[in-house]
Amino acid sequence: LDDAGLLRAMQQGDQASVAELYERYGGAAYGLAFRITNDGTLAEDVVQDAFVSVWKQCGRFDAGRGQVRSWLLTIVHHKAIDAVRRRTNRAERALPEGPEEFIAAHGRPDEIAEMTMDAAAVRAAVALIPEDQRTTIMLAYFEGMTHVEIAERMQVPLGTVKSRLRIGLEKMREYLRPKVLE
Amino acid sequence: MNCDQAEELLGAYALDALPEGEAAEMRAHLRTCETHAAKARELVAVASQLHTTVEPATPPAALGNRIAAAVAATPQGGTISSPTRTLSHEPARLEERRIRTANRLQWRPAFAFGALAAALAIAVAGLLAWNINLRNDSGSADVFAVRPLAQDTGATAGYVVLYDDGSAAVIGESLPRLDASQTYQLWSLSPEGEATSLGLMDYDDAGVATSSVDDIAAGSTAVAITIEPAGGSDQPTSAPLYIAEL
Repeated sequence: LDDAGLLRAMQQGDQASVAELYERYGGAAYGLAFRITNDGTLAEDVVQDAFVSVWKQCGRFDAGRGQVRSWLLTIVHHKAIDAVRRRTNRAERALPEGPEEFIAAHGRPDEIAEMTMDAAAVRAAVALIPEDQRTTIMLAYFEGMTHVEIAERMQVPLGTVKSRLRIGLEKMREYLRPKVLE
Repeated sequence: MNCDQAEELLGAYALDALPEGEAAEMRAHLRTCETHAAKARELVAVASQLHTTVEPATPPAALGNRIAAAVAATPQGGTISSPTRTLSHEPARLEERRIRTANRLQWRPAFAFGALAAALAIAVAGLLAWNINLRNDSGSADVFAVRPLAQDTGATAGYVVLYDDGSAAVIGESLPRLDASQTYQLWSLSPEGEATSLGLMDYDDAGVATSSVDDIAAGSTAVAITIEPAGGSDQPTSAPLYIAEL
């Protein structure tokens, strides 16, 4: 079964599909959770929580419209940054659900689905954006910092952080169009 | 939130970098504004690929079994019977409880055990997995992590699935090999630290241990595992190696 098939089986209550999904992406999930939390125990809990969420919420995901892997790892990311924010007792908690809900509901537009999304292309896109935008995006994604926290860390106005995050992603989007990278 | 504000926050939203209040406002805006919903789709899609820049890592061997057990105990679309209830977001509190429990046990004469090093992790043996699934059809269950009591081992080491009828399943793997004169025994602990035997655990050469318990006494606050002489003991004769706070 491909990933979409696994999701459909899961939607029928097939628990073995979760095990298969874990077999495929457990390493990526754990790597991401550990990268964000820097704590093996917390990373395990995050990954477990994420897979259980996939099991619970798979009925909301249209496997024909989105990438299962991206959805899963967006859940892992969201839970990891929430765990980090809790651990550090930050006031700015994350919502119970993050952008993964948006992915589940909307999938990806066709033009995005056609983009080059392999690791090398994404790394290249990250490398190609200006350093200040790259750093801002990395602080948000891997450190779980909110825009306010990033502004404090980087000693720049909040509006600057908002712009860097948006423009940086927009540039990555352009770089990820196959014709740009070819 | 108006369109100008939403436009400004698109990147932060896609990267999950909005605090709770603004994120909620953004989501509300995206439900009604197709222009920004379309832009959000693109940026969320790009942000969702950043994980590819992280190399996969090998998870602990027991994690897959933990997930399988948690899934078996969690109904789809319902309220999560979350393992995070005991662990995920409260490491400091968990540690405090763990130490408190350990200290409490050490004060009880019945627990004046010799120290034994060991490691316990979870597994789903066939019969036990069947048991979990069967019960999950008709009732709910809570899942609790088993942790080593040794200070230097913080990893989740096992699993207790506690059903709403008071019965429970305990699963583990990678247990240290015992010689023929020893066995693993399961105990429920009262708030005062008194131990009640829940029986011996089945144990195989692969280090997988399982136990099904018909009834964990009401008021039990923890389940502990000790190494006992073959045949078991009326009261623990060694220090608990692992404990699950219920």
